[in-house]
Amino acid sequence: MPELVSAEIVEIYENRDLAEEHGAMSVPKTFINGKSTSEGLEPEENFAASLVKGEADEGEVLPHLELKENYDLLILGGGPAGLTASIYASRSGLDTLLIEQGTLGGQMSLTPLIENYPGYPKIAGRTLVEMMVKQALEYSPILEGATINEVSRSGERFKVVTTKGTFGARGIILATGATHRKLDLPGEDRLAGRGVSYCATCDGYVFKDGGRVVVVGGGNSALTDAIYLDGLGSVVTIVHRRDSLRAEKRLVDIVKDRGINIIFNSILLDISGQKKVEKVTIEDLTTGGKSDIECDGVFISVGYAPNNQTARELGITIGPGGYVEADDRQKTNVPFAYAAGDLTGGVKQITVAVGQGSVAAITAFEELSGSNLKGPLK
Amino acid sequence: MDKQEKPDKSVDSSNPPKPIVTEEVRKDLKENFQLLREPVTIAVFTREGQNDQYNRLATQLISEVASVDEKISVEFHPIGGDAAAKYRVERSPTILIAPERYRIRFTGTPLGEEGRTLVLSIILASIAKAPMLSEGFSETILKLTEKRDVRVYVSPT
Repeated sequence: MPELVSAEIVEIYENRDLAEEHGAMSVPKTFINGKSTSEGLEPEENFAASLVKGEADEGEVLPHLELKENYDLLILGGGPAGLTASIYASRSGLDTLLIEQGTLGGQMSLTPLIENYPGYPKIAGRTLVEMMVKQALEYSPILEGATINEVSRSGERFKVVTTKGTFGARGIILATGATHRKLDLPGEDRLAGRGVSYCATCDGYVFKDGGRVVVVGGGNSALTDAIYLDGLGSVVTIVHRRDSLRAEKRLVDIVKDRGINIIFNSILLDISGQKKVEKVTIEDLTTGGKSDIECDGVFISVGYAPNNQTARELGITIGPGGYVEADDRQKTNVPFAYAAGDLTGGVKQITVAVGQGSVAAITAFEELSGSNLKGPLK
Repeated sequence: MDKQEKPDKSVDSSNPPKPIVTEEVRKDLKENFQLLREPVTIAVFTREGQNDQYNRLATQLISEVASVDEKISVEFHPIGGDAAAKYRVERSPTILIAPERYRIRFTGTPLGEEGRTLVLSIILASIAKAPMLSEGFSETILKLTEKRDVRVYVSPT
């Protein structure tokens, strides 16, 4: 086997020409035989399937998982909310399967250092993910890297169709989280991986020591990104559509102290460049005047959008901002369907996701035990 | 254990630099390297004038990692020399793990997150098995019959 496979890790700061040529300025990015097969982290099994096929492939459910067709409870989403729900549900006796479309950990795995998860004064996001996953796997299986194609409810059962199989259950917990919001500009998708990024801690390094970057947004995450990039030595310009920043005072103070340039009352009209980002065009909303800012990178930090597709398919009530409405027991308007974590909006903290995940599982247990008309629970 | 073909001047340093591998990390590495079985050679290739700062870091990092366990040895080669030609190394710095047996290459310095990958690749090259991979990975990978070149773009953060 080793004679068949070669592996090369390319550091993009030291090899920027290669990264630019292959559109690999958002990392990690994987190529097999020159074909892009994955952006971001990827489950091992999917990588193995792609390696065998020679192009992106999710593969099939592997026999060692020993999955069944029917469960008491399905959990969609493997971030802190879903993982905690899985631990609580399994321990209460519910036969549970957790399904994650991408890689486990959600937003948590993109956080380099977590300093507000009690019990761990400082812990790397990925380390905390690994610990939670290991703990969850002691109780019930996890299906990773399975795209969810369809979710429905008929009679008293939920049905979830994925690329790795179809599963049924009497209850469902949605913990599908939220992803970064886009600006929906013409150049945004075209230049993704070519200087447009939504994760400064992932992709900022290549712009250290003099890279010119524009940060779009005026909230906590935009300012955190701007401060991080400034710390790397990038030349940072913040473009914000309002006339003042909407972030914690501590962050605003740092931005001011460091003299980071802020352009208020302005929006991006487009991002342009040949093979990589070369400039952004902005419009001053007070005067209507347009101007260009030459730059090498654009970090878009304009908030999060909930991943509410499955909730919509189930007819679950969606509230302001697209967030799922759940009560204080994490119940939605659809019987035996619960929601937890970032999908429900709020302050978007790991601790909250963990709390809501446990409440959702306990409520599911209570309700499913009470509604247990199909034979005893295990 | 060091073997020097012809030192690249850019990696010379009269003042000993601050260690990259701290005492704490060294302890961790010692423990992890208990798993080593076969000797592993790491080849570091550099060219003066290209990423000089990283040439120094790569040279220092690999020297420090290799000094933790006697099963690891390190060779330094200039780009443009015979060894570089043999392994088709053109970018500075480049690090090859057990090049006589495997095609494992770091193009650039494995700092930050990639430190984990470096350590893992040394261990895997030494035990010539992949016990750390998931059961699912091993099952799938046995089906591979054709040549595959994998390239992953990364940054230290």
